[in-house]
Amino acid sequence: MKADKRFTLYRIGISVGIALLIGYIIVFIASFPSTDIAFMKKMKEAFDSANEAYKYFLTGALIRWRITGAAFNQSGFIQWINEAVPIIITGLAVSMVFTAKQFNIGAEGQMFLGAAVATAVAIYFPGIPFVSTVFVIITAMAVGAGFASIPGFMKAKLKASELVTSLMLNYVAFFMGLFIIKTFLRDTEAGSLVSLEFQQQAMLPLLNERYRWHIGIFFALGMTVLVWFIMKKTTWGYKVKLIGDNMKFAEYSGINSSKMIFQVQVAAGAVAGSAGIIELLGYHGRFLWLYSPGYGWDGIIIATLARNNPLFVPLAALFLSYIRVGAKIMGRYTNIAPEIVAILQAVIILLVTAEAFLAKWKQRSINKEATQNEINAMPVQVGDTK
Amino acid sequence: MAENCILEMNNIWKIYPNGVVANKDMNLKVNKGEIHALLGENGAGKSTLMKILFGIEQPTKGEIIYEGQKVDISSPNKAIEYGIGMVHQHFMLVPSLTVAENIILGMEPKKGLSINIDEAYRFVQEQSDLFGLPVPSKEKVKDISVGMKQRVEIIKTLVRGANLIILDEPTAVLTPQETVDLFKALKNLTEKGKTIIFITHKLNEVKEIADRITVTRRGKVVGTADVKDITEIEMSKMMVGRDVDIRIEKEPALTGEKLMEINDLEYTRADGVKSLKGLSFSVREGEILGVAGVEGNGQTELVQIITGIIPRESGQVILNQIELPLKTDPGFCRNAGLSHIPSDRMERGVAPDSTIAENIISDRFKKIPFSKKGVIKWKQVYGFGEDMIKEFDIRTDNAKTEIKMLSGGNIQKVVVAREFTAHSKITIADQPTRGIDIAAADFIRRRLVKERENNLAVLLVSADLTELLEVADRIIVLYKGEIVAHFKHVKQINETVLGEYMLGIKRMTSEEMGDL
Repeated sequence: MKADKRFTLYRIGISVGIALLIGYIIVFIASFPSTDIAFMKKMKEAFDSANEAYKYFLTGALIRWRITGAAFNQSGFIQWINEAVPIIITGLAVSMVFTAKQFNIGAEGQMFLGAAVATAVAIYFPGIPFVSTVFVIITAMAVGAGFASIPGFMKAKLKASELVTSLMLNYVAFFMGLFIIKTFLRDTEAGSLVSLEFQQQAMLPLLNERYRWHIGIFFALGMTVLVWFIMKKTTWGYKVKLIGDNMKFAEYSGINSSKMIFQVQVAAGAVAGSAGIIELLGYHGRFLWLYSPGYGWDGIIIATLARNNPLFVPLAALFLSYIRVGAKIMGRYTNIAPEIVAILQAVIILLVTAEAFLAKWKQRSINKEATQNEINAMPVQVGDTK
Repeated sequence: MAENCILEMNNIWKIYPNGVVANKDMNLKVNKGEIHALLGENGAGKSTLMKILFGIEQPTKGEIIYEGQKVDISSPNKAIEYGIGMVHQHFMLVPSLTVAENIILGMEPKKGLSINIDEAYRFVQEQSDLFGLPVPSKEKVKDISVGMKQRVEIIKTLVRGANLIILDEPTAVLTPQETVDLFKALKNLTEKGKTIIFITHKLNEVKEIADRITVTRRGKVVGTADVKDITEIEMSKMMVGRDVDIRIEKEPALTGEKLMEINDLEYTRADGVKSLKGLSFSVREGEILGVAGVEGNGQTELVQIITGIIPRESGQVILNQIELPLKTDPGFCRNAGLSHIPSDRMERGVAPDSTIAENIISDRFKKIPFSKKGVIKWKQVYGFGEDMIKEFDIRTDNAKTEIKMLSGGNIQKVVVAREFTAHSKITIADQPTRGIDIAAADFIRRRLVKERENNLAVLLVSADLTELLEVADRIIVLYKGEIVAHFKHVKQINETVLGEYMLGIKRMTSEEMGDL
């Protein structure tokens, strides 16, 4: 029904609005001066600085505010796009497993371990332009797929909850990844724990040298189209959707559900595996994560916002990275901590996934639509009653 | 008349979150001490109206006046407080507890911290004597018959102080003999001043037991009448809105070779009950074999084994000369030429968030023209979906509608559209018309007969005896996992005869049964 889809859109819009409002209130409270001045004056100052902070937060990624006027913020823009790249990819991976109602949340580990192993290839594989890059990415994807096959296999064959196994395996992946970097690939010359530098030929081409705008975004968008095609246009994607919609029905129709459960997790693992290495190949040029960067978790947020539709994943990812870059810029110009963005994310996710939120309003519009249809419909002939 | 009125439901509207309008301005008046039948087809809104009365659903609009006062029934607990009880179609009993334990659940007589079990038995005995409803209070619920379970449910509502009892299609699960007992018990209760609302779609029952009826159709009340003033034909006209002829004309069966053979089939459930004890029979081309039996006598297991959903313990299943492997695989059965209309369409028959067309191609999406080289041809899929909507008269806008937006009858039509167009030689129809409107049920029955005329084999499992007698060519009766009767000439028997075998009162010898 139309009301249903329209309502989902409203709910996302209103959730974002409420989150921004809550963020504003927090910024307002944080800006409240503690100096000994009149209350109204304090209010005014707090308003002024909150407005200032929100100006940077909402527009900082695109506009550079100078005394002379506003200008396009090239660095902010490039940062925005670059930061969206890994989370588009993990968002796609998560949307695949979620479509099959498999709550494999191992994208973080697949991404991390994929990047760590592929780092070895990026350092030691002979430097041939393009070929090296492709080979590095394929390695990362293979590692991601291989690692994802563990919870996939345990679910398909042993009925072990993929939620638990994939979650625990994230730690395994993290420490294994660090172990590989520390033991085999560490750059002893560097002051911190980082890998040796990648071969120059393996790196992704840059669109902008100064701010290191790499072509990862095209990889991510290409991946989006590919995943969209697989999920929406192939028999494989159709099977994935059916097992997610009603597994018993899929089995009854003759679909081998264990096989599909395994396959979809492995395929999503391959996608997730490429998320981390893309950023390293494009931006950093070496493995430098001491902590897991959290792209896998972001993927869950994005898949949820995008309602598991691959085409909406880039939009959700760009939205998330936009408010993050904005928050960082706000943190640079004001004394508001950029971590405030975590509160906003939490509020948005909470409201978007809360089924009952605005349900009354939805019911009212459905009632209206249904009553309208009734009035337009043919009346039931009332028979003779004695 | 007015002071005699125990319940009034005025201008009740109910719109579900998915936009389905179940009740459109419905009015109901029930007098004290009467048996009031709520008559209507499935989907007419009678169950929803009763769920509102019992506090399971909240009305979108409308008021309820009970014993002269406007009441707000926000939950079943509230309803019980007011003295309204309900016996559901699916019993809400704990199988592993005794009858008495089930009855006192939530209102246990205490002795210190533990339950005073002797007092419980005494109390249950006293109550069952009082209402003239004898129950075996020390037996476990899992060991008693369906009719007895229903009686336990009725006592449960009575001991909680119910003055108005709602019975939701109470006879749907009963054999003819059990129905007679139930009706006696109900008459007895009204003599003790209880009021009964009786939901049904069976006209003969209304005539037999009810004092007054309210007829509903498509979410509206068509009218209320005294039963003695109205004939069954008039009732059916009110219910359906037109004259109905549900007799299906068919030629005697011309049977050919065996398409399905079952040999010595055995199965033991997880709880240790042996639900199939060496079953053997066959279905030939051009015939419909009916399977009768009280629910839970092995029908479910039989169907699930033949369709590859659960593994058999021992024995043989041969479909189209291909023996089923021991490993379960519904896809294998489909490839062997089997179609399956499952008993619970929502559990296994459809994917609710997918579209009509997506549901119809679920068994053939790999074939041309629906896909080529692994890529789905959505245009062909939706074109086919539109064709099916026309051919099977599915009431909807288009094939892109999601299943969850359809009514039960239309969902069932989606299921049969898929199963009847699969070009299989054998069709297993498990309760194919349960819970759907008369027109859709009639349509499906006629399609089953058509299958048979096209020289295909049909196995029809149904709790609806009228349907079995109407559609099947031969009937076997299952009782506790065994075939206890076989009727080669369905035209010569009636529901009562079937009932005696279904209850295990009678049993045929193997000579009487003849060649199965």
